[in-house]
Amino acid sequence: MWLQFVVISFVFYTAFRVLMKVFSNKKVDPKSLTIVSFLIASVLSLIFIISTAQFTWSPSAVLLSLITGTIVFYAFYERYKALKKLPGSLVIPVTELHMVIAAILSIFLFNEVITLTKIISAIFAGISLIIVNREVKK
Amino acid sequence: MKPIAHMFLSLILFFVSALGFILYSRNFTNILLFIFLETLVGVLFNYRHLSKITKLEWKYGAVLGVLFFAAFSSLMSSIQYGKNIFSTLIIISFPTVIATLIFLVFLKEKLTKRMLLGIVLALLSLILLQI
Repeated sequence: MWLQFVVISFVFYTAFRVLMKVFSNKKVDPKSLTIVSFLIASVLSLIFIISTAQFTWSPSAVLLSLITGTIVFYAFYERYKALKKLPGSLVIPVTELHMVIAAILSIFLFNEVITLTKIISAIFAGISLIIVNREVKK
Repeated sequence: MKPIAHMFLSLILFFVSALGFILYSRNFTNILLFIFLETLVGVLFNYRHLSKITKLEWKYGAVLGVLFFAAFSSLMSSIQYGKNIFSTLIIISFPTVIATLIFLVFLKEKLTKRMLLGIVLALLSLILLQI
């Protein structure tokens, strides 16, 4: 069963990233695009919450979700703004580097194990950001 | 603000939100509640903008919203059903690689050699993180 979900998620994530760029090229406002996509995702998740009866929550879980949600909303908004002017082949990989930075920082924050691949990954991410920054500024 | 500034600002914001998600997944189990509140709060803060949205924006936004929810919830389901963290890690990085290839091959985006090097390093960095 999990393999089906893996394949579905893989296809949807790829389509999502490609269509973000395709739609950003059209005459659309990045803010509107972010609001509508978030609204639809919100309604769908509410339907699933009701259908699966997952009503367990705590005030701290709600607070953390709201703070993260506010930040992620503006993260997508800024990404759409960047995609309007810059190539998707640049914006998508660079903004996805947040996972690398988060993984590296989680070593210090959550006492996770440092591995050689994590160190190399961080070095590559750093060099990549420097190169991209310099090239765009030229 | 220059487009590059938007890109780096987005990177920083995504990074902070990733920390929020890590913190949530370490302490709480109800992921659907997280997705619901995470996506709802931005809309509530910007509810005044709703009246300005055109039909085209509703159409495109709806497609993206469905894809976003379907991708994220199936990712979570794959963890729930399979307990296979490796599958999750593949999902997170490889759509970025495939999408980048689609941009370069099918959308024919042109980049300088140095820019390509930067992108290859970024993709390698994402793949290495999963090993």
